[in-house]
Amino acid sequence: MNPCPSCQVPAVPGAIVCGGCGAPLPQAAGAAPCAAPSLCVQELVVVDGGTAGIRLPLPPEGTQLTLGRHDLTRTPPWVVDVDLGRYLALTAGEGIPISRDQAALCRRAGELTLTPRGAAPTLHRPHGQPDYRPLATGQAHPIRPGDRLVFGHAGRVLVLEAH
Amino acid sequence: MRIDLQQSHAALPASAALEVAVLLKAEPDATTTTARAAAADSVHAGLVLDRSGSMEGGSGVSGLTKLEALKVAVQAALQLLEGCGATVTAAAFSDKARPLCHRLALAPRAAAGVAAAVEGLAAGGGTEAKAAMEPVLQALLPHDHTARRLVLVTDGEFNGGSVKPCRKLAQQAGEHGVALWVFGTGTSYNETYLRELVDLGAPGGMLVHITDLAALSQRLGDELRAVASATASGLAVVVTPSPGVRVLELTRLVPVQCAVALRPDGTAEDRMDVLDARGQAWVARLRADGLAAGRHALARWKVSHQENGQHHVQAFETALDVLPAGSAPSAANARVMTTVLSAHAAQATLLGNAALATQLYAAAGQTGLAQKLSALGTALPSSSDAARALRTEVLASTRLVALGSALPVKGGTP
Repeated sequence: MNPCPSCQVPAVPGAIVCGGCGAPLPQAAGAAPCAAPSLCVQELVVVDGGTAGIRLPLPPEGTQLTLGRHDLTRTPPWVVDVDLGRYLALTAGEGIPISRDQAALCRRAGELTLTPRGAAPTLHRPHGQPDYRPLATGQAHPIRPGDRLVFGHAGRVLVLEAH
Repeated sequence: MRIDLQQSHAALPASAALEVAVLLKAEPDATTTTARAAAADSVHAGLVLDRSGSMEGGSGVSGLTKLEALKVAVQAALQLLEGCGATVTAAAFSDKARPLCHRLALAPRAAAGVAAAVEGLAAGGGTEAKAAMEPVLQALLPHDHTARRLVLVTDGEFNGGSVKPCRKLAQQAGEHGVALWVFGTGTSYNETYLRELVDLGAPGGMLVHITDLAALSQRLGDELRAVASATASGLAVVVTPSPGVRVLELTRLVPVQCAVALRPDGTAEDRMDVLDARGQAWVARLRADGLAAGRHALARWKVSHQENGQHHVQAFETALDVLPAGSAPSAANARVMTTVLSAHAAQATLLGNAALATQLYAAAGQTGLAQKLSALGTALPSSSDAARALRTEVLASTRLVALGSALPVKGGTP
């Protein structure tokens, strides 16, 4: 048995934390870093419906961003953190197929979640799965690397991919 | 309901002692809809609301007192509960209780009367929590709803006359399967005591520190939705170790991390009234002594639940291939490893050991939490707003690691 680097108590094979001091054992430290970053979405990138490759801002840990579209004709004016209309390729005079308050993007404990809030649909396709499904309004859904999100109506949609 | 059992290693070299960690996940089956409707009708929420004088103070939300922010959150919760046909009992307290409603089935538009009563609450007086907690708990005691939650919101330390009675009430709640959700705000409430109340209640309870009362609405809504959307009920997990094997620990991870008490005979059992819509997870550490080379069963897992009106029982086994001494172990399952590290880091955080918690979170790759711990440093054990918020965050964060779906399953033995 190799000793724990922190307290020198012999480490039991297979143990993840030291039975003596509770510190992480070397094999755990070696295995783990591949796990947490893979859960953590680093960027949301436009892949269709707009300029491919453009990145959307993401919320820092413990904060939330509102996705939707600005509406300064409202009283009081409605201003969102991320105006999805800006990312859509629209022709002149075409309406923006996004709700004012489309969804909330939140990061807690490293994980990114999306909570649909608007009337316009929000679709989600988990990584490795073939079909999109609508996300329930008002519920927080975890977003993982490789997942795709669709906002919009009918044929006018914005497709994002999480990386 | 889908069950997934993963273990940290499938094979280890022979040694006097060996350790294997096991992650058990129970997740709702996306195709189940009938059970969801049934479960949604079976939620009884008991609201115990603090309207003591200190609730007149600023909430951190522009222009709102704590009581006003609480009203906003309760109105949102009532709408949500109305939408799923839940039953509500509610009372506010200061020096005495003010009943708001009793076992009210929230049919459409039925919440208006309660909402008006909540709106009419004014702050003033002491924090005699037992006055409201007792009648609300009595209403929750009958086993006529699948999920029963006593939701207590407070910003202050209870009056002396409420401390022991509320402890007894929490114990009674636990004996009757009622879980306590306690939401504390500010820095005046007794965190240790409220955590004790939660632990005395039934499994599924939690203490949540709310830094900004505007967040109460979101958090309460998330938790109520998770219970109201449950697809399975009567969830029970029993772990029976093989001879020569010990369960070192069993930890439930949803809604927040909580250690499950081991039985004197070495087995462990946990029961939940409903399967949270986000899924449920447990992580266990097993220790085996004196195993010779060969394949060995380490523990048997029995998982039972109710779904679509039927009782289901599934059995699983955790087995280990013990290799000749000096052999290389099998590849480690990163998700199980990270979950164990995160669970221990959260526990170290709760105990105020910032250095150890930081080390564990760093090993788990959770750099955000490691940085927050480093920033707090020796202030971690304090009752500051930031320290309380961090303790809340870490206890809820381990489930995110456990229930994530980004990693392939390795070494599972279902």
